[in-house]
Amino acid sequence: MKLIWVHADCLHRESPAFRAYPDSPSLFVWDDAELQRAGWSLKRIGFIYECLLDLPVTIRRGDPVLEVLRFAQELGCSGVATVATPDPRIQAQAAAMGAEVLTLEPFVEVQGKLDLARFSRYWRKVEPALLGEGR
Amino acid sequence: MLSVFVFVRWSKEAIRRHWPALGKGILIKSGTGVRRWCRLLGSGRPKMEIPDYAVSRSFLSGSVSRLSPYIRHGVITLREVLGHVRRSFAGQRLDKFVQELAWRDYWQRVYASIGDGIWQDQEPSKTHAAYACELPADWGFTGFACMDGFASELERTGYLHNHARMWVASYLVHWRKVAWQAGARWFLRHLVDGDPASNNLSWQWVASTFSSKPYYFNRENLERYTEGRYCAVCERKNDCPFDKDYAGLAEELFPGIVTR
Repeated sequence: MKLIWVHADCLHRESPAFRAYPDSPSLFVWDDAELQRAGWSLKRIGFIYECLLDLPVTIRRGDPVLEVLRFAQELGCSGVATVATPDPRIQAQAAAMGAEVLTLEPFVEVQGKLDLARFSRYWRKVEPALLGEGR
Repeated sequence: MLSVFVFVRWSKEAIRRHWPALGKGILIKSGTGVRRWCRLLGSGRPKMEIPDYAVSRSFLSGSVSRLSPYIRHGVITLREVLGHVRRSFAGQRLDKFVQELAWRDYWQRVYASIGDGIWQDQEPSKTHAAYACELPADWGFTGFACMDGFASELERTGYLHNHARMWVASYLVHWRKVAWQAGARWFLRHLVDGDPASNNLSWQWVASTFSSKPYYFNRENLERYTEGRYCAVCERKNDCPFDKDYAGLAEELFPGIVTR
């Protein structure tokens, strides 16, 4: 049995982690150090909390790596699963947990390399798939 | 910060009662998966009609989805939103709305490729000015009804219309010479949809560290898209620094630089 680590970049009830491990327990950790650093308003925190109420998730606070590993041990879980994000801090935490990182389906499938220097170049490449006849 | 965590045992109704500033428009509705956010499309304030979106989205009173907090925190995915609007508005022009979804996907892809570089200039600024590291001391009390109104609205509601975000960013960076990072940090503290990718890269777009020229506006533009609501009550309406044509503003804000 794996423990699903739910982080604030993916509060989806049917995330790849919930779909891959439908019977697994899940944990969300308020990251004390990050909240302190970023100084998020109560509205931001309240919104996330509201979203968490719709998930079958246990909520703790502290250092996410320590809390997730401790909770996994308490429940006898064999590992941790979570969902990919571009956030480097969450990526580093997932790596420190040894988590299996599951990816979301992309917004748009792209053949070959994307030039991200300007939106216009990206748009030229994705527009046919998003708006064209062949979509 | 501690006070936040007593909410864990509270019901949603209790939170709404004790935290009215959140407003009903921004609280999530119960339900699961697609059913939940389909309702959101119809229950946000104001209700979004896709055909109106392309025409009215630049107006503060315009038709926008208010889905951004849910997208930001992955409650719904861009792919799901795209599928939903294609099904619900089949045969109608979706170009503008789909392009806005694509902007978000684009910012995320850039974030994935640069990581913490999101806090650094992606290109040299085109303005050659010196910038302060902190918000100005009078921020929120500038005497300009528009800027003070936007600052207050953001702190009070956790939301600002995208056009207002651009005016605020432009005012702070180009008129007040504040480093975009200071404004971006302030936005991220308060915006319920605050996302490092969309937020920081949009500030950089305004600042010209991720675009070929700085973004700036004038009174005519702001007055039109706010439908005059701030200018009418502004104590500086006869002494407005935005009340010029674009050539005049460029000369004042970016001397010696071609901006248009």
